[in-house]
Amino acid sequence: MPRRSSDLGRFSDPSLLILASLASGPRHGYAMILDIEEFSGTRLEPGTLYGAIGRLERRGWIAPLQAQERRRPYVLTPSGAAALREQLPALQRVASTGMERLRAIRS
Amino acid sequence: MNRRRVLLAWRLLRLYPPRWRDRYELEVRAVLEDHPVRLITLADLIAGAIDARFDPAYQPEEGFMSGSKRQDRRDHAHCSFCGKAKDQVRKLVAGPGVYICDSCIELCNEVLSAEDRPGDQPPADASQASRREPRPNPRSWVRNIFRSTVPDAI
Repeated sequence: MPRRSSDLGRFSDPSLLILASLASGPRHGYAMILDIEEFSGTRLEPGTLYGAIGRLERRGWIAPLQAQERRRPYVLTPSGAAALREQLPALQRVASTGMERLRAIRS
Repeated sequence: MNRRRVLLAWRLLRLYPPRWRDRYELEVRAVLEDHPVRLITLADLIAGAIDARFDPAYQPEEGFMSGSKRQDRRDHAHCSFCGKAKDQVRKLVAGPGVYICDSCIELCNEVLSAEDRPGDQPPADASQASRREPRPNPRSWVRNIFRSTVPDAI
């Protein structure tokens, strides 16, 4: 997966990044790329982005809206919001456990 | 330079299956106009096309085939990337469940060899370059992949 800054980026999941991006409102493809880069430092390339969009759409976690010219915005569905809500605490646990263990190494 | 890459990226969208193209091609073209197209963008599109080709959601129909049906399929084989029939191309190479024609191999070669063109990468020090391992030729690389998976071309 293409990354811009950190090698750790390879562990991030494009689908999760898309869900998090759409949590603040509908966005089209390029707007998602910019938003995701801003909040996560990961630059998704269009091939990866649309691979994930297709899967999320089929699961019913995001839905396409009416295209504006050629740009089609996507919106987070209630089941997508529920999936995101379910995944985030697990990520938070991973982050806090990692931080805690790192502190133990330092001392 | 970027315009040339955008056009190349648009051409790569032809590698995606028809059902994917019907649904997403216009949108992705629009994204590629805004997004800086780098070599990683082109490689990512090729990877996305391969992924979509293997995705059951974008398959035309068809389930499992009997031996005679498989032979029939071989007789009517077409390139899995551009859709051209066996008799419309110079050479059609069989892979595991897919076919690729000489034009699509050329297109992939073009993308892979773009890496070596001046301007895409900082010029390497000549003495360092001579010490480097020789880079495999993309054409032989593609050929080797298919040789290792199938006994022969059609």
